[in-house]
Amino acid sequence: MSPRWLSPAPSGRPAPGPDFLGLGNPLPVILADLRQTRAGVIAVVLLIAVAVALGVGVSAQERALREGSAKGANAFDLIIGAPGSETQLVLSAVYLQASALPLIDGKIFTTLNENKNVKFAAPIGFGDSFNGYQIVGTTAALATLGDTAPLTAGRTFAHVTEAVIGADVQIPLGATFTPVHGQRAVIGQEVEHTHLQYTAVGRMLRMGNPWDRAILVPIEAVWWVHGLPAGHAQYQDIFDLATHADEAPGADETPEQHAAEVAAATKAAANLPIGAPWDTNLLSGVPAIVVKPATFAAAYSLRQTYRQRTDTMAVFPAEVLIQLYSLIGDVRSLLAVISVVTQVLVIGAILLAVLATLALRRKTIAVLRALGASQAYVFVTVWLNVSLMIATGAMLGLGLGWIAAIVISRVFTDRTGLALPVHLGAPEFILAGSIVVIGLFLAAVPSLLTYRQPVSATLRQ
Amino acid sequence: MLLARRRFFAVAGGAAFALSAGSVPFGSARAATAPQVRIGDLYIDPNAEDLEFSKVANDLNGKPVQVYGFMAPPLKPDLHFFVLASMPLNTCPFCDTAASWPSDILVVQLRHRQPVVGFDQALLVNGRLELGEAIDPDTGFVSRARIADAEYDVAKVAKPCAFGQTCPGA
Repeated sequence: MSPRWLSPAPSGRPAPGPDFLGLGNPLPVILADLRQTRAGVIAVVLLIAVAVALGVGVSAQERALREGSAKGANAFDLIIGAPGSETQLVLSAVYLQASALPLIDGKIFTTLNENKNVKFAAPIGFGDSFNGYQIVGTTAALATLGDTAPLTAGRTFAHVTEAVIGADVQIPLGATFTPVHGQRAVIGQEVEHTHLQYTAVGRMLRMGNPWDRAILVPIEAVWWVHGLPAGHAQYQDIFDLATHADEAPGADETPEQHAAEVAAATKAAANLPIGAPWDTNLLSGVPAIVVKPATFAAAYSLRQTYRQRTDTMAVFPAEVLIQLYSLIGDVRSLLAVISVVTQVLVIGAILLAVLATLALRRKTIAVLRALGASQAYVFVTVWLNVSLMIATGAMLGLGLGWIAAIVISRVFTDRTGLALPVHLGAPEFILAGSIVVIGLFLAAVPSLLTYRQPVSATLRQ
Repeated sequence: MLLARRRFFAVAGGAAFALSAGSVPFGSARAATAPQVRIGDLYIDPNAEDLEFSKVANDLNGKPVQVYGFMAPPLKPDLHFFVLASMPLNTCPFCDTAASWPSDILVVQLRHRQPVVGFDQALLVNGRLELGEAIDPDTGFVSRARIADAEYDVAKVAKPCAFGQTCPGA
């Protein structure tokens, strides 16, 4: 049976479709040919797509990681902590990665808040959690980032029993909850701090980092709940009451008596003061302090001041991030090389496959020529055929890489809370584009080979 | 591949700089004519509590200038601006005990992003001098003196050479 594309056009009517450079329309022939070798074409397109997707995905993902982490750190200009690992301090304070940070003197943040070149300085105290959401003790200034990020609902905490929740925390405003010790409580084995319950009173603006899954409470609450001086004399007065309520019901008291103790402690806690003015003799240590300087000069002078002290360390998150980026960049370049090599191999393999099928098709091409098709027509037909597959594969790969990057970002965000916005940029389009351009050139090789075939010799075979 | 491109620009920039005669950076014609200013010369007394701009600084306000300096530790990971200091603060632990630090810093607002260079590299920054307090819209930080619309190049440093000789590249 002769292939469909060889059936002659009805006489008297020109072949339908566009006329290609006066050669006749090659599209019906190409489409017919692609249809005939459907399985092979799909395999070739998919191969190219996967190779391109690898390169595009790595490139887009790396940028997403860079942009996401930079955006996530935007609200944090200067972090002060105890001397040690800068990376660990930044990971803990900015990305809320739990780690045992040594404490620094709590007086430092009160001193900083008196500095006119400081917009705000807020302590960060970790330790407790509720339903998997980390509870972070701080001051009201951090909840609104010094009035630059207004709450989306409610108000900031005004009592030690109130909490402001992150954008993604699934607790309704007005709900009351009891914190548990540690980050991840064993279900049924939670060590609760029963003498202190928080009520959610406000919701923070989305920050695009793990703070969206954090619960912010007054730093006094974190200190007090752990039996530490809480910055105000009033906390000392009801300390025994609170501690007693926190213990398991004793043998000598009925559950009712214990419940009454808890109620009394909770009631007493509601009247405790929070925030400035502090009793500087009763301030406990904090793992980190977030500072928002007012001027460029202040940012550097504060960094300097707290670096020169022997008991503190100060770092711009950007310093750590840039080190991290150069590391990620190295990995990315390695993967980029691998992906380029893959693409070259794939295109090489495809050209080989095309050459192999051309040998099989030698006869039909000769027939085509004998029917009156010009050499140029044959060249264009074969070239377009190969180019079409490469271009389709590259486009598909661009989309595939983009989708892959989005999926990886989703998984990453789900695990860490850090939002990674994926979008295709110039590098990805250049990557896919260069594959297409290289492919178009290389597609000329099999085309030229068929172009030079002698018709009569082939027909005689 | 693209990182390689970035590196290529860095190398190309450096190469162009090395090719151009003397201390004049590659590219713009205005760079050749822009007067050089030292960061310390911008203020009457850099150690004073209340910094006052010098006559030199006021005369050059709004005009293209060239300034030598070192990149201070980055405030933001996204390099569309950086802070220029007169000394390599990240690598010289003794330099920053000077009382003038950190008053005599310049905020350099880049015309376009440029590759990060080492903090110990001397830079030659070209741009327009801007004096007076201004708030950076992105970071909310106040600055007193800026170089706007800037570009920078790694300054040529002298190679080590024997005593009594003039070192090449100086």
